[in-house]
Amino acid sequence: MKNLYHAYAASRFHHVLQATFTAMLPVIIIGTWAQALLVSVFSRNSFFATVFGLAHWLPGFVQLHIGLDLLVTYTLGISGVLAAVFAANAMATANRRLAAILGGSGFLLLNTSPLTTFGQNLGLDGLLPGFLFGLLCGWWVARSRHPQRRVAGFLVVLAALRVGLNSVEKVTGPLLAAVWPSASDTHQWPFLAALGNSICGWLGLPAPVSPLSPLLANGTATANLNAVLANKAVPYLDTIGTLYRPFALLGGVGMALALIIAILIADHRPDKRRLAKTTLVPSLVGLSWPILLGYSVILEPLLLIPFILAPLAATGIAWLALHTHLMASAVYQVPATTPGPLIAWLATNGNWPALVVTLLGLAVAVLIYLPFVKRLVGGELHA
Amino acid sequence: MPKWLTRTLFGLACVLLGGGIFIASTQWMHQQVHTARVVHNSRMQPIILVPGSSATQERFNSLITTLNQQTTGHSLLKITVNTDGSLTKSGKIAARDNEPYIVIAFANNHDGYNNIKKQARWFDRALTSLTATYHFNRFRAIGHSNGGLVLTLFLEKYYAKADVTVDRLMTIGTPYNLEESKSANRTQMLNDMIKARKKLPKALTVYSLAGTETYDGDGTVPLNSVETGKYIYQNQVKHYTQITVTGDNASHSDLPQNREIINYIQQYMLLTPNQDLRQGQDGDRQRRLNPETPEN
Repeated sequence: MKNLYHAYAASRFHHVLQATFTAMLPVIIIGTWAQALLVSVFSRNSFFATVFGLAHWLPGFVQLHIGLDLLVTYTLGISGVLAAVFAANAMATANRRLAAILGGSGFLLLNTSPLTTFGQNLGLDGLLPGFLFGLLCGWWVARSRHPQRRVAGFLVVLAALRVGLNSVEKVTGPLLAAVWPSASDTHQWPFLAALGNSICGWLGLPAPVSPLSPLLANGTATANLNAVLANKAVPYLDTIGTLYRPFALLGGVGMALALIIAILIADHRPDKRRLAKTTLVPSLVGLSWPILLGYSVILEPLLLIPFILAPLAATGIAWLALHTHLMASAVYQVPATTPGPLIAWLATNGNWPALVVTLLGLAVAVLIYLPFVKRLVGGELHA
Repeated sequence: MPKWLTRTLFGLACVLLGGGIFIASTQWMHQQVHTARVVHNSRMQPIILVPGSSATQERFNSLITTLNQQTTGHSLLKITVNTDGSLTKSGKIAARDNEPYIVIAFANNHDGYNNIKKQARWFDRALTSLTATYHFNRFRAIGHSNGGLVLTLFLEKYYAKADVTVDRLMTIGTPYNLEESKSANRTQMLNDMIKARKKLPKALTVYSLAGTETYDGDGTVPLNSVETGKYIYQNQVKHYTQITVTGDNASHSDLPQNREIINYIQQYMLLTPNQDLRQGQDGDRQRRLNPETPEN
């Protein structure tokens, strides 16, 4: 097992992955901060705008919203393309520039349909597909004696593929949407959601339960809310909205806030500490891309274990507290960008045990992450 | 500045900021939950009346006076929606009146499909403001003439997003096919309404009342035009009933004063025609009995 891990760490795949994420990092940091400001302060439905009524009195609210939206669109919004470009560049042993051009153009080509010219796939949803596509491009161009011809041929093939896909999608609808697990199917299995969400997040795929999606969106949540308003017992105790979302999505998928705290405790490398501090604030509203990419959490085998275990533990603690009637269930609607540690407190309308359970879950998650972070630091020093 | 001082100041700022956010958001949440409870537990179910084209908020005065003479009466609030979406109010909802009348009229009360679409949007905005002010989450609706079209458009276009439920709708002399007397010639408006009929609430009960002075209409609206309402509502809502009234006051503009129609409203639309007066105070009672008396 250990040898296998070392072999992976020394592999070309791992090397290209690191190089890609490192190259993207500056753009990701700017984009994440802009998005955190955009979705938590400068949007009408955001937490700070609703609580403090910002839209009514803050001058330049609309202009800032538009400006930040632009920043997000052209940073995080093209991160899938960037992944393709940098992965192709890092993968190619020769003809690097051509490989990078092919990666970028090809990925744009492949993801432009008549319905979406600037779709989700070009952004963070396309992180893994973009990376894999970049690998393919880099490998394809590097092995050629006539790279220009290959690039041209490949682009033509991609365009043909896209046109073919268009005509198929006209009949069947977007292919991905059809097979992608929709969160509403699993809303009564919070543990399954925690597991699935973590695995998707670790793979760099869009999480089925996004930390930015609205909280009150399905029938069970409405039934719970109505029951509480009518002073009746809550009908659905174990749902994503009552157990997973308020307690185990702190800092985004995989309890990333706990990882950041663990890094600040145990990791003494200055650059990693700086990265963790930079991510701390946006992670409070559920955005932690800089740490996921910069600490290479995505596709890092060692971190998969706590990435799954930490949310499961937090959900489990909440489940226990709820079923022993220690705390009220989280039923009231709060804005999606409510700071993580406050979600349970507010969604229970100020239930102290809920706040304690949130912090307890966070502490346990930090303890779960600590040994893995230490291990990672140790591995780096030996290498 | 020494390092420890910087750190202490930074820490203090964080604690203050965090504490401020904590307290502000907690208060905000308490307020939200309080409002949600009030709305959820509200027993108020107003009857909202929408007049037809060229009519003002005073259109239903005589209808409501008659209704209040027959019953113990409810209070009346009259609203005119201005073209910029602002509301001009007159009258008042009496305390503890669970079934007040609210008339929603439009400053721009002209005819024409484009205008009716605008009026539906104004209606939606007025309703949003009313539900926030008076804390109700359900109502019944009566529309005279084009008022029925405004309500139909509202139900198809805005209802799904609104935080209210409607369980009964009565349209009186509503020309679903405008002035067209042949039901085979469908107007653009009727086509649009039929196309969007799936969005109508399934639990709705609809009464469509038509007046006849001659054999084919009430003098203004052709009977066929009223009857085309079935292409919108039939098999789409829970119940759809079509009633034709004849006799005195059966011409289009007299319909709201028609005895038969007033009886139908009392029978089908009023939940508590006889408001329990012991609940209210004497002042309320006076106001309820005489909605015409100026208030405020």
